[in-house]
Amino acid sequence: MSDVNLQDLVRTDEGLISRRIFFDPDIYRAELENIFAKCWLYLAHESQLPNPGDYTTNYMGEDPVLIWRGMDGEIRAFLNSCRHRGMRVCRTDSGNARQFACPFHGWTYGNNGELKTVPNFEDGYFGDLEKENWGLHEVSRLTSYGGFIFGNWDADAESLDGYLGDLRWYLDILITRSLGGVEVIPGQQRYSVAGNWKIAAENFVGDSYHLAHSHGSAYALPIRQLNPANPMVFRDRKLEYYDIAMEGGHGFTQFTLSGERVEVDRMLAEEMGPEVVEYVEECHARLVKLSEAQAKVHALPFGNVFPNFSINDFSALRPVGLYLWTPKGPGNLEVWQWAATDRDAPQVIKDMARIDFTRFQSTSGIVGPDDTENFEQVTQSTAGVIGQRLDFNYQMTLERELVEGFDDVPGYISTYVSEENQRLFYQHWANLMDGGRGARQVYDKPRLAAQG
Amino acid sequence: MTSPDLQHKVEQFLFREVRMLAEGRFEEWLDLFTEDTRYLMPIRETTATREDSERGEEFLPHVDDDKDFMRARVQRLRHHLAHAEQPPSRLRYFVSNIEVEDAEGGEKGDLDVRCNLLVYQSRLERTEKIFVGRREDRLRPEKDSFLIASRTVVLDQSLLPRSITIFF
Repeated sequence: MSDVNLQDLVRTDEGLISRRIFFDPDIYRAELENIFAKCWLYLAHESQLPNPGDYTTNYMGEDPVLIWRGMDGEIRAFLNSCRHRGMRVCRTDSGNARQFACPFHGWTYGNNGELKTVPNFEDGYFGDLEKENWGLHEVSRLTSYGGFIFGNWDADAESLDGYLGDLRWYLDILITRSLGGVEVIPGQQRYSVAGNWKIAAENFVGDSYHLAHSHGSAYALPIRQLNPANPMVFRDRKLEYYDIAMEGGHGFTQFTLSGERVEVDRMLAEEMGPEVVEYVEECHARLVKLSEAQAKVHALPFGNVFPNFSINDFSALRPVGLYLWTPKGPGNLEVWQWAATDRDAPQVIKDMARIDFTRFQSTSGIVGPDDTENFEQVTQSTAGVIGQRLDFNYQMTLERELVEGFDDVPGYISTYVSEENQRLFYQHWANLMDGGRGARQVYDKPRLAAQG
Repeated sequence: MTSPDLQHKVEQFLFREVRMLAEGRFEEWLDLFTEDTRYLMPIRETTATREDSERGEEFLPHVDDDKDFMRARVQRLRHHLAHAEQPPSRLRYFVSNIEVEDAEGGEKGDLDVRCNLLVYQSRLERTEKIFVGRREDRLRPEKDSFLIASRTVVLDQSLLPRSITIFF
């Protein structure tokens, strides 16, 4: 990769990004180092690990990790690999365990990661092995934000608070609105996609442009009859949408900033009964306590937490979707996805959430698979030498000024639809890949962030 | 003990049914389901015990459809923008190990039918995917044939080879 200047491949000021970054194996290796070993990555939600000994597994980049609550109640994450010969220590997806014995030679680790027993410790190692140095390799930093657990391999990384930056203001909406807290429904959907992880991440970070065409077949259905809380009801109303990009490469799209989403929730709740009406009012009241501006935003719609963690949250009445685009080589990714509801939502909302999630942005939903087809064929287009000489076009709204007038809303607000968020995502990516050497800002004068 | 005649009749029903899917005759296929049918596909996870691996009602499934939503899926596939299946995948269905039993509960004459299923999906040039699992159907006698009163599709894969754009 020595001959490649990444800033030349990512020319956000011209809205041009080389296809090479989606295919080149050297660039991919560098991503594992500079992105996935340095950024805060989403691991799990605390509601999946309520009790001491509870564990679940995931990946950070291509490294398998075990997220485990110790007997002391603390959640830690470890490389899921025995320190002796590397065998995978935990081979189940989730459960509860006091300890894991490596299947290979039997090194046994407690749920605080400590190496407890080593077979033949006396007659093989003659007691000389320093067990305290050979515990499971722990993820250097682990922090939870409102129950969302993030890990970082870089011991010198900035705090999670700093990393999320302005995004915290938006995550606080989701976290505060949730009655009793966000609770992940047990079980994860997982599937493979023959696509580059960035194509999936950028689809969430700001690509509302694709909705009408890619998902035209879903929009054409009588969704309103099929799902009483579906956001596609919005199509009947004129709403002002905005995209918002944030420093750090995060971006969300389809925001309403003047209270429209809470109004639509109220309207839908009326049809669903008094219990739901009350629930929406309670959600709203908690957000008003946070701030008027956050109460007006009400829901995040959809977006991506840099680098590969996407969220959708259209309404208090629908499940929250959590999506990880896990890299598996330059041309492959795995989708790991979960649905969440409010712990104390009315039962009708919880019952609907489970089914609602499966029907839309899901393994078999009427939305997700059309995205899969895009991700795969877009990635394929980057394989040929001729294709690689070309750039993708990210010029939408390139010459437009940012939206002004929402001074209490943090981030860079752009008109809907736009490609501001994608440009900021890729600029941040290039800056990290470049090790900060030629780091460039998308905006000359970053707006002062509102209090987050 | 199921009579050879009944076994044969059920087998022929299942073979015809999957041929409808392979040939994209989805509207005809929908007519094989009762109006109150349920089409369920649980997720699978790797767990310490075999029993736990098949995730039940309290877990997120891959699919949990009623007839209305099955209709919606078919309607969507007919739309010119449903590009995950346009052009259509080439599909081959293999049904085997068909076991037929009188249903416990349900209506008079209902059958519980279990079979293994292997679906080969070939798409564009190089996309080739195989889905493997079993189906558990509740069949209800209807004239000379059957209606499917419920179907549970239990795939063996905990990580699916691709998103699902087909029926099982």
